[in-house]
Amino acid sequence: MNTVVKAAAAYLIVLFVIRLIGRRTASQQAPIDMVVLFLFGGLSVSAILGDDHSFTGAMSALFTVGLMHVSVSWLKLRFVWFERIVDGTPIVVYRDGDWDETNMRRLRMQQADVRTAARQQGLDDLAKVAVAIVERDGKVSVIEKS
Amino acid sequence: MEVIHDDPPMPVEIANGFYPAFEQRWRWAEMAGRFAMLGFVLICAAGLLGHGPFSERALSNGDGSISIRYEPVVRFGAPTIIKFDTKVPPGGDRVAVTIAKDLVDQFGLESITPRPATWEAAGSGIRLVFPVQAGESHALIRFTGSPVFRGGVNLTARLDAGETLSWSQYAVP
Repeated sequence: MNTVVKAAAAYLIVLFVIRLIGRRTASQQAPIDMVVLFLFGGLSVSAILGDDHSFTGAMSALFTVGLMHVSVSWLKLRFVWFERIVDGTPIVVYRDGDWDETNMRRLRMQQADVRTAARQQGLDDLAKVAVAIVERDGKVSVIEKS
Repeated sequence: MEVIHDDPPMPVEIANGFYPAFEQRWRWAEMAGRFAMLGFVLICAAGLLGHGPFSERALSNGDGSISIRYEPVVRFGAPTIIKFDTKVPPGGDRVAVTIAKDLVDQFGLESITPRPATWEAAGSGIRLVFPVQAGESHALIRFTGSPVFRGGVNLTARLDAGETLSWSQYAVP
């Protein structure tokens, strides 16, 4: 019972902490982002299982986390407000030559991230970009000028 | 269950910058959450939830026969120490401390330094006798344990001829 409660609590806490520290960490694979995710995983395991090295304990935690994931996914489907809280909404950071510095600062997003996304789309000039959007998963979408 | 919501067309969403009102409110929640995390980290770093520079308290009984240093707030399953400073009776070569049974059961007692010469049941407590070098006026005893309780527990200790010292410890998960 104890392991189940701790696993459920840890799932919710880790979910919201990742959300609170910003979507960059959830999507980028730079070393500073990977450090956070690896440490979150390791710390959570020791907090949930502690000295319980049994197979039963590990499986109960694993099933709890799986069921929490299903529940949160269902709530996201059911309630749009919940989906926005858990996943956020897309954010425009560049439009027709103008950077939205406020949004960039809040997202800790750099110009280089947008330039990279443009290049990955085959564009060699930001002048060809109509809008750059930071998606809910932290990736940058670039929409080309028509 | 309805899974298709009446979101505006995509060009309208992009023109509006999606949902800036929600993101503005989320920004406030994000800042509140970050300050809450910072506050929790500072509280932990200070030791207000155990294991820190301000985590220890000192307490003595009325006649000064026992003084302890302990952590009022401890962490479940994490090691903690209670240091006893006991007065040795004049001319005595031993000191006997009677501790509450909870100190063994709930406190998860792991070691006592120095090791007691004898242990014996004494009513609802346990009486421990420690040999002391002749001439010493104080004996320092360390109880090390890892709490196995959550919430509060009241503990007591007393010398054979002394007042009872009571203190409480609270274990956080």
